[in-house]
Amino acid sequence: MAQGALSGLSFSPTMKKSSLILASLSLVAALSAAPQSFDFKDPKGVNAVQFHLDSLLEPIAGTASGVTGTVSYDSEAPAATTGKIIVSADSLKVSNSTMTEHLLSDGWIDAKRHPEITFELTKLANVKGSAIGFDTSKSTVTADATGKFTLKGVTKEVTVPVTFTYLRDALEKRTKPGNKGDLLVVRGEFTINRGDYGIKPGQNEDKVSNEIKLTLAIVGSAPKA
Amino acid sequence: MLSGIIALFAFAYWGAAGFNKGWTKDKITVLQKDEITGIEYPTFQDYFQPGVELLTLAFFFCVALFAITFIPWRKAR
Repeated sequence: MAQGALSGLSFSPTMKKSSLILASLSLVAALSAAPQSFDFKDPKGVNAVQFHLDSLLEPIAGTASGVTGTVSYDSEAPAATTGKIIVSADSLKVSNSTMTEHLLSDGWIDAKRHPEITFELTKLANVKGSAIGFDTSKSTVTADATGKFTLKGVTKEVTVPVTFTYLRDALEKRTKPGNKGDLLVVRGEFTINRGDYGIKPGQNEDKVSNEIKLTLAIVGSAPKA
Repeated sequence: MLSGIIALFAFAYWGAAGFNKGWTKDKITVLQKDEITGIEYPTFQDYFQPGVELLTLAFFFCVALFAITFIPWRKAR
């Protein structure tokens, strides 16, 4: 009966046009909501993981700048984020060359045998966030990222509080005009115990602390074709 | 007297380089900011800054030099 009632309806040309526009807009919205793949090999060399640990004389601070990897992020559904960040072990550097050599040697990081330090995201929990003010081109999401962290060939599950800042159409502002695309900034901080990853476990803890604080601030780009 | 001069010179050099109470550094970290993303990232610049281990080494050398002066050398006839 309802079918019969509907078949009796006739659409005016204006209504047909409106329906078509509505359908097109829905399609555009559906397409723009698809996850984007962000490449974290930053051409401007901004990406770095900083590490801090206490030592006998003063805290040691260093940087790892060889960051690569991809993150699949959907600003409409950030909980579905997946990805892997890779840090080149031989990019680790401190402010003393001799100390850097020791750090990369087989007694510590063993960068020759284990050239990559990785974090592979497996789950996002406690996802909270919104657009910043009335500016829909920028949104920030906080979450607890659980993933597999691999250092010196040892993989352990860690949970890291992270912040995702999504910057719509910001790629050309950082690169060159006409280079359309979005940016994703990922920030996080967590602490590991070097002994858990086979880095001199139980040794020299009076000289170099077991705890290492890692701070991450990286940006990935997703160009639009 | 020579050991005193060396000690004084070592202390003055260490002090002039910034009284670094940590390890010797051959690079310093300079923080820069990416305006679009707001990311603060470190860059390294070559810069030699002696640490306390070099100062200590210099003082040990001076003490050793001073101690040598007390060794009773046999005078040549």
